[in-house]
Amino acid sequence: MGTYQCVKIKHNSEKHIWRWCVFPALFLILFIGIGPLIYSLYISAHQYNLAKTQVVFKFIGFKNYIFIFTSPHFWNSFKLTLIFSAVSVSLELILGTLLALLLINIKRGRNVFRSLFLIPMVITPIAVGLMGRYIFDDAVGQVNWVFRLLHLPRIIWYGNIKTALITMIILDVWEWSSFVFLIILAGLMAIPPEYYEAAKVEGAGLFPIFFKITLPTLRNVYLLAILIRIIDTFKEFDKVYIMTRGGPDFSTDLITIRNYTIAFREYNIGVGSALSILILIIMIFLGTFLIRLIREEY
Amino acid sequence: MRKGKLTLLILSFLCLTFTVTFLFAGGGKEKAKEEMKEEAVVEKELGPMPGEPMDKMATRIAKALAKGKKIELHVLLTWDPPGQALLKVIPIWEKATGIKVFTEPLSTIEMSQKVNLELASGEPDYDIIQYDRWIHKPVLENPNVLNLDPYIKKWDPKFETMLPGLEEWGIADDGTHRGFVFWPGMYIMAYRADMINDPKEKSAFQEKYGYVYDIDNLTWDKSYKDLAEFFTRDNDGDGKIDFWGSCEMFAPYAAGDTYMSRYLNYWARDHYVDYLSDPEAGKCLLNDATGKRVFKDLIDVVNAGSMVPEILQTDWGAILGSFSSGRSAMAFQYGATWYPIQTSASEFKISGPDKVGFAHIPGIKGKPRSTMNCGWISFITGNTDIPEIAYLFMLWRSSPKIDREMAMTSLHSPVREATYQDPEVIAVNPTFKAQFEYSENLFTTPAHLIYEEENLILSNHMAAVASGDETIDEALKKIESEINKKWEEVGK
Repeated sequence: MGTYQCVKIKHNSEKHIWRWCVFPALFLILFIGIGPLIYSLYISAHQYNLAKTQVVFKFIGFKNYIFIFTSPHFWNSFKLTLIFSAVSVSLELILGTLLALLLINIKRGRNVFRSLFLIPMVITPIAVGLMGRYIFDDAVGQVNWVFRLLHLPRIIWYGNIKTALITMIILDVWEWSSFVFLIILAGLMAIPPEYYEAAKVEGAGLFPIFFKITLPTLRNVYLLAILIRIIDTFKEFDKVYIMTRGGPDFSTDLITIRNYTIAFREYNIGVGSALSILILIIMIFLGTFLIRLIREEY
Repeated sequence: MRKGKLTLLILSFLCLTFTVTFLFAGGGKEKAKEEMKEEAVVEKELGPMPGEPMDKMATRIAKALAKGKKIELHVLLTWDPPGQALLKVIPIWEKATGIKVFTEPLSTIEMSQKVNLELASGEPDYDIIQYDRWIHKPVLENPNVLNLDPYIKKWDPKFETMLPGLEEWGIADDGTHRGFVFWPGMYIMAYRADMINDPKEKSAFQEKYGYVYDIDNLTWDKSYKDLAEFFTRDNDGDGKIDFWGSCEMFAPYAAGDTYMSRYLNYWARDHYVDYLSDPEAGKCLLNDATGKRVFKDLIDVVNAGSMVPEILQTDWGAILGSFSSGRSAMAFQYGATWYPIQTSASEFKISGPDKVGFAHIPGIKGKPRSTMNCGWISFITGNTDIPEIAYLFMLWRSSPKIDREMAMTSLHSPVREATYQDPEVIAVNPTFKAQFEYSENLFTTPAHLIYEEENLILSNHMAAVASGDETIDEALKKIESEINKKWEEVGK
């Protein structure tokens, strides 16, 4: 009985020790993650302007949220972010897949190509934005220089309401296709070669093999890439801020740029916090939806 | 006998008390005299001396105040030209006073956030903060900004020798001085001297338009438009326009400056109280005949195809690139932008006095010309332990000698009129002449709470009109409604 008790006590202490191990990390998360979030929720229900002391700090309930939902700029930003995200991620998936398919069959020099393709991804986004300003410059940019050589019409890339968002998408695709490529290449390498050999024996061509074997097998890899990239594109800020600051005429005013303008140019912290909360809710819904899709497989 | 002894004892005691009291009283007087003497010395030491230059006075007094104490000054500044100019002269201050200056340079973007966060904290970490005047109004009214009036009374900064209007920049709504301008910027025109001063071009222009242009006296509504149209041409003969008459800024925020450069000329001369908005009523004033006229003037040049096509992406930095790469005959921006091309520089296709000239921005016929003034201002934080030394540092920095020193050695924009007129300084920086010529008519950006928001609204609708997405009337209606909404947000 005594031995049993001893074992039980030991078992119990082992059972509970994890709580003590987890506690510091949990405390940190609560302190630096959940704490500010709760504070942000609190602020979002207040009229609060950091720079203008004339604006009195007071509780206003859901007025900041109502302000956002009735603002045409918010809906414009939301629409632009959806377009930016959908088009960028789609193009990145197509380009990443093509690159991965091209490289999977190359045995010699694959690593060299892989490293080369990864270069845009490892550049700081701010630097990409600064480079973008020059690459897409109307007068001295390399893109228009190539266009001139090819006798193509010169385009005002990010200084035109109609083309500014397209320029941002091109830059994002250039930067992040390599990330999608990397994930898909890893997925492709994990597909057992027997699948392809069997398909070839059955006489299947390239397209049937791709659509019937490669794509279904990589379903979860794609969903993962989509999940990561959608979250990333939804919080795209650096490049757009450096290149256009949301202009011209709000044509690149993505939701994060709108949030920054409200919170850190107008210092309207109340509305800025409310918008951050809304962005967070959107991201949680999107993330949960995509994670459920991945889980359905299992 | 016993009685006599007692009397003697009492008398001796009284004598002793009297002597001691007398001695002490006398000594006290001496001490008081000495103290008064010392005070007079200190007062003399801490006061201005006749004929003493301002920089010498500031360093002498600061040194006296810091005597026997370990004092450090903490300054938050930008690493843009205004900060660089100051960094160059700080060793002179340190050598003269023994007071070490610690600086933290930040980018302009970071600065706006940092200043507001520091002040919102209630306990700023710096003694002095310098910042872009653009964000000045909300900052100036902050209770954590020190009232400079007692120090100005003690040590006169001689505002009357500064450019007109600079003193007013630093005055808060309650009439007290809170800020100190040290780096003003004036909006001026850079033009292709090799083309615009060419007699052949002048006579060709006269033949076409029937009058002779004067680059120093252009008008927004006529000669500027004609000149921009005249110089827009196909230089390489491929049938496509590759050189434009003008380049102006239409990128977000920068477009506000473009608008203001005209608006001030049309309007501010007659109504020097409120412009763009009426801050008391919280009402946009743009949707009127003046606002329309300014818009029309601007868009006429765009619609005529006389401006470089990349205007919607042109901001304060990009305009130098457009002009110096040889794409336009005229361009407008704050004086400091043009400093790099005022002398010949191999990295620019267009630079040097043979190719680049500087002039006033155009005006309106029959009215004195105005230009917009912007720049950097600094203030002392309310919780500093060394307000006097901090003030003396700002005074020293804006003194005629240091103002000149910075103008000679860096991209400094002086505050003192004498610096702009100094032939040696002009030789180093030819734009100063053009800047000073109309310094009498300087107007600052509006000193009201929502200027930055107003500016972005204006910028975006200017882009929409320039792109043909909105008519001028539509744009003005939307501008009015959006600006009024911003006023509502700040409780108007």
